[in-house]
Amino acid sequence: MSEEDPIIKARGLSKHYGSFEALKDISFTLPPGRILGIFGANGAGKTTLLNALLGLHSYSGELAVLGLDPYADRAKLMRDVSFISDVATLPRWMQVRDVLRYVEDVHPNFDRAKAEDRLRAQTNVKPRHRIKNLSKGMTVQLHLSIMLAIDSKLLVLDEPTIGLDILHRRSFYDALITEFFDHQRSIIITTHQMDEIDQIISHALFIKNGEIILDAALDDLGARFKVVDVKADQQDAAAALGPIFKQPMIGYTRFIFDGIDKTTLSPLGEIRRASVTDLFIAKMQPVEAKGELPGGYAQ
Amino acid sequence: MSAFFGLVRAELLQHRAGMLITPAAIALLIGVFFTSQLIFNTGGFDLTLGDVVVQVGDNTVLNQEAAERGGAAIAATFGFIAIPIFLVANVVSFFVMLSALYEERSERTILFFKSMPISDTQSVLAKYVTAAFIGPLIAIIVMMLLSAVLSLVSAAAFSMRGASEAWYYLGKLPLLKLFISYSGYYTLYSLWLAPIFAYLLMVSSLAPRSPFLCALLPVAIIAIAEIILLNSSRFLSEIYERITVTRLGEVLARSRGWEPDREQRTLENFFIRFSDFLTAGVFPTFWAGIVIAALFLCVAIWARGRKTL
Repeated sequence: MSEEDPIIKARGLSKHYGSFEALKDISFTLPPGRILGIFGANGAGKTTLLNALLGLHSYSGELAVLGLDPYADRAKLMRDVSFISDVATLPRWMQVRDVLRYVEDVHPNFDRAKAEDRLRAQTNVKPRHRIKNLSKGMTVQLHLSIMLAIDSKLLVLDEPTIGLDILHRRSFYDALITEFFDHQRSIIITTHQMDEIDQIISHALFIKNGEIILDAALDDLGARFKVVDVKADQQDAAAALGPIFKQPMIGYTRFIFDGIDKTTLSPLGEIRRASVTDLFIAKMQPVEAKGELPGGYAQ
Repeated sequence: MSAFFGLVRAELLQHRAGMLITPAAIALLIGVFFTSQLIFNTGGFDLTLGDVVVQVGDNTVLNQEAAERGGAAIAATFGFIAIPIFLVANVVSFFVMLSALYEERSERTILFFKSMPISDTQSVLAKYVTAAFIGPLIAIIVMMLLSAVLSLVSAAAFSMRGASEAWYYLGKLPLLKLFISYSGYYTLYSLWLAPIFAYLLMVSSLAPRSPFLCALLPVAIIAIAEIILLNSSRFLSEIYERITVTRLGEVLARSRGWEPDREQRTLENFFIRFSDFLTAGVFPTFWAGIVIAALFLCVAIWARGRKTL
């Protein structure tokens, strides 16, 4: 696999649970050196997609991660992929030093000294601490220290900061950027706290009911989607331009437009770049008739 | 290979209460009981092996013959006092097999373990090997340590009562040979039990909840169906003979030319022989069990790959 080959290449990826279709014919690619945010409402298929990428369950369609079939070659793939899931999954019956020794035993790319140095310098986690006695924040820090000490090409994070306070969340994401990301390695993150990561992701993938409804680089999103806060007297003009979202606010109405140029929008009000959160809400709203959309947060 | 050792070490760590602490605690209890008998029971008690009887704790001075044969007798007797340790090791193996693949799903630790470059085959085999062989081996080591300690205590107790040949008697204890024999017998026993252990591991990998009931239910259904439909209980008999090792024991005894109605418990007969492995190896039922166990293990490996949570 060359450095230019995509980290992930999915074509017609589907997953069925009985008659329920959790993933519907999904296709996307992820080049190396990107930070991809996967967003969707609960039950949209985010974790199903991640589990397919990690070889944790079977699927139909074509999928290659780092050039390997994840389900058939999971063990080999995991040499170059690190993974933190949404809950504390470290074995509670181990001490910290036990889990470090375990990873050292089974993972050829793990640098135990690096993990211990990070734990010593940046956390209060001690080698003799039992994992079951660690706080949620300490457990996540331990897990992060382990994963950052693995020389991997892809780091997958499924709701990694759930249950953490804002300080721990911020330090978690700071660590990803300063200690892992180097424009060669890639990161995939799913989280509901989009506003906390929209400054660090380079790509966004929105999933709704098992289908991708948006797959774009953040730079492209900025050029394509715009938010305008429109006063009452301009609302008809704004609605006529076909906004993808409309939300009543106090004293004005917020509109989001897709692909309308600045010159056309500037008479309506102040224009700003749409955030990932803005887009998520806009895309997840049921769209019955553009220009007559229900406002507010649907999910 | 070091990865496999790492997996086994993690298994031992997880089940240290059952595989390390419990045998040690039972050994301690046996040791305390035995030592208190030596100290407080001046009348002594008998250790027997076939026609050899040694009175432990008695003030009677042992003659040379008794000392020589006593070494054999007490060595074998230590084997008998190890029975509780072996029984517990079996019970521990039973429950470890039954919970091994179920608990990692219910506790969600499987997500962590599957984030490591370890295949399902390695994981399942590590769990099997630990529960079927390593755990019992630890019990044997604990038992041998107990035997060594009790031998020293016995010799010291005899010595203090004027039986100076007790130290000679101690020197006759074939502890290493016993260790090899116990390990060999237990390896045969574990291989003989392989289909049952592998069945439990398979159930553990498949059970949506309550693996104990899930393991019991199919056995009960098949047994009842056989009784009702065929008016026989062959299935239950097979399981009973498998667990109690009666059939394998008979085969090994026949291969040594033992007569069923004659006492055969001499020390030499007590030691395992290489021919025992050959005898078991040509016994069709033995291999049938290994094949069934392999099938069950394949299902367990397949299920671990499919059922992450």
